[in-house]
Amino acid sequence: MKEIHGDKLRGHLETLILATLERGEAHGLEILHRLELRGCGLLKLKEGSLYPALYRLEAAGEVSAAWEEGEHGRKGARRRIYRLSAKGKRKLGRGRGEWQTFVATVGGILGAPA
Amino acid sequence: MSDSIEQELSRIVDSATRTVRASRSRKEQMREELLAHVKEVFAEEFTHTGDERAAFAATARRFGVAGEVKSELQLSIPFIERLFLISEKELLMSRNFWLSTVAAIAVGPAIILPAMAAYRDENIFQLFPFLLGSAILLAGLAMAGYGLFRHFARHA
Repeated sequence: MKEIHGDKLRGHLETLILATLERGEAHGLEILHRLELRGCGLLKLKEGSLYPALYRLEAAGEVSAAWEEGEHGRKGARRRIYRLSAKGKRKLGRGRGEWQTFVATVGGILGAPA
Repeated sequence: MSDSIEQELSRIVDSATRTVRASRSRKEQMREELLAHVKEVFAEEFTHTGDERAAFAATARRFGVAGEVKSELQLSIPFIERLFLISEKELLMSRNFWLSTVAAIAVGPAIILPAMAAYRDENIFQLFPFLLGSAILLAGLAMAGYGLFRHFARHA
């Protein structure tokens, strides 16, 4: 199967992040690993793009973030741990509904229902 | 990790964050988090390849083009924060600043003059339009004064 690159994920990335955080809090790289795992290695995301999406979600109150304690060998650099908020859970629910509508509509037009 | 690799990793992060218009604390936070990310990715890649140069190249590739990351980081900064961080030069060059100034100088009297006419003709003093118009006019004059003063001061 062909890989799915960043531009095709545009507009869905934030919902995908929320879905990964539903499984528990995580830092940026862990979120990427979860996306990769659940996308069976087909999702290819420029990793620098993850953080702007996380900052937007944080500004919207859909995730909360806290610095982890200690640097764990990364001299002078700590990670931030992201957690899904109640608002984020509601947005994820809406995102799933919108995705199902999108797939049903476009799939119907293409003659390739999900 | 060698010092040179560490510096190069810092450079990747700096090129994506240095020119982002955001508060200092937000930029430091972004920088620290992204640096932690690239260091961790480098460690991952180094475990696979055992070669620092190859691991560094893979880290840079995975991170993406710094210019694109910078643009996305900039878009993630709340509008209010960007507004307050606008530099004086940008403010004086801003069309919106001068349009707002002209509009305030035009709109202020347009609110005050009918109120004054009502007072002259009917002896009714309308306090609210008078105060509102005065405030808008004064704001416009202050903006014009500030803009012109700073403009000429910069070119003196």
